[in-house]
Amino acid sequence: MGREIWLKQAGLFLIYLFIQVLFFRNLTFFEGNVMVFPYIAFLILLPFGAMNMSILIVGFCMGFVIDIFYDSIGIHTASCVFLAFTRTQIMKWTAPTGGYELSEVPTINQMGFGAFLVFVIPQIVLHHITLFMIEAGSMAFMPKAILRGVLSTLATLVIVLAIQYLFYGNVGRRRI
Amino acid sequence: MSQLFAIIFKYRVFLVFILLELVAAALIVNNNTYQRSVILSSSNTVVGGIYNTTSNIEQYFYLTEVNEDLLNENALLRKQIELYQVAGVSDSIDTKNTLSPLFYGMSDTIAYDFIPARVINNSVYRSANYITLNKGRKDGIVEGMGIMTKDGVVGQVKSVSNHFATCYSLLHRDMAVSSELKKNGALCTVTWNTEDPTRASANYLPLHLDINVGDTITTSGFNTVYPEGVMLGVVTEAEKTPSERFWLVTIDVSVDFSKLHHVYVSKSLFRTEKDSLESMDEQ
Repeated sequence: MGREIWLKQAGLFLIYLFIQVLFFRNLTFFEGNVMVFPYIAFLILLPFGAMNMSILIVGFCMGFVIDIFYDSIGIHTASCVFLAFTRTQIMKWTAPTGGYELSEVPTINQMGFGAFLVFVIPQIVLHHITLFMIEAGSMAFMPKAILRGVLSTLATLVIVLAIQYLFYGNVGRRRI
Repeated sequence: MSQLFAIIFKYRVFLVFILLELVAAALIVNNNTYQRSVILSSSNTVVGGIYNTTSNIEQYFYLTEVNEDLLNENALLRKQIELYQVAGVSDSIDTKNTLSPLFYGMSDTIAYDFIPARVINNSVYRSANYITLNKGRKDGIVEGMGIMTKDGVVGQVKSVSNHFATCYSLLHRDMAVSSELKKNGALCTVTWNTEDPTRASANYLPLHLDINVGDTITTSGFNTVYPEGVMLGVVTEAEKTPSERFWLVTIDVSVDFSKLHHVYVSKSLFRTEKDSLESMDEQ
């Protein structure tokens, strides 16, 4: 059982990575103000039971590889590690009474639409704003960075929801 | 002591978080000192290979556009050969103002060689944009060479692997190109303002000069990166402010970075000689 989950997550890691660098990397709207980074859905949608330490390390690896493809060494790494750390806190705050089912992955079916949004949106916002703020590099561009972060959050959210409905759509056990 | 370990164990996740963030910060801060560590850039074999494969597929979608570009360039070069032949006969034509930069330096002896390359990865909308080329060390590219198209300056090579090269785009916050005002040769430095991929600014033009909208800015040729006279852009705004000692000049970048497909890497044949001579002067 344990090994199966690891293999599946490793497969998902590669799928999210390649879709991001081969397809979504080229997707920008409104003169570059809106970019999409659905690869972070991999980190957000790790099983509830994943250990905090392993999420941090997986986040670091994901950010690092993405950075190499984007030639932005360190920027995605920093924001992914930040996302991985905040995910633990957000899980604490949003947990339903009785806590999350540790063997499950977060899906709309399992959590309900509202709870899913509450769980996902803060993580995307934090990641994107961190990303654009580090990328801007100077205080003068901060308002613009925050604006880009918020707008891009909406775009990423749409993709993440689309993935949910496409691949986790059936109430049954259908998974990719 | 065991209490200390207990505390460390209790906060281990937070401590690892801090550690990983520090590693990331170190990577960001030292980005430029890693210039030679090709493994961390898009020119490493795996990433370069992936980009090369996808660009092999993508290039079919803009073949028409590339063909038209090449046709235009051919026509331009043909015109210049004609001019050269005329200039060879009568010595009366001012070749410097009519010839393409690709020919500069050829009048006496060839100072630059040009290596054609294809852009396999490019970005425009970040504050630090990079370009990946499908040519590398084996094709004679080394760090620091200039990149241009027939329209003008594109960037400069950052790091090279055997088959790929990662380059600073002109649209990179650290890029500065030694340039001049074409009409009178006044020196300036072109930098990107990180906002708009079609605009850059020309700095350090002293106030006593007369600058008008429509003036051309080209490379100065003072360093061995680009030949002299490669187009950078046309002045769209020139403003005098009392508090500054220089003009505030905005230029329209001549290269359309969103449609970058084929480029030339300019290789100075006298680079080592000139650089070693100039470093001798400093001593």
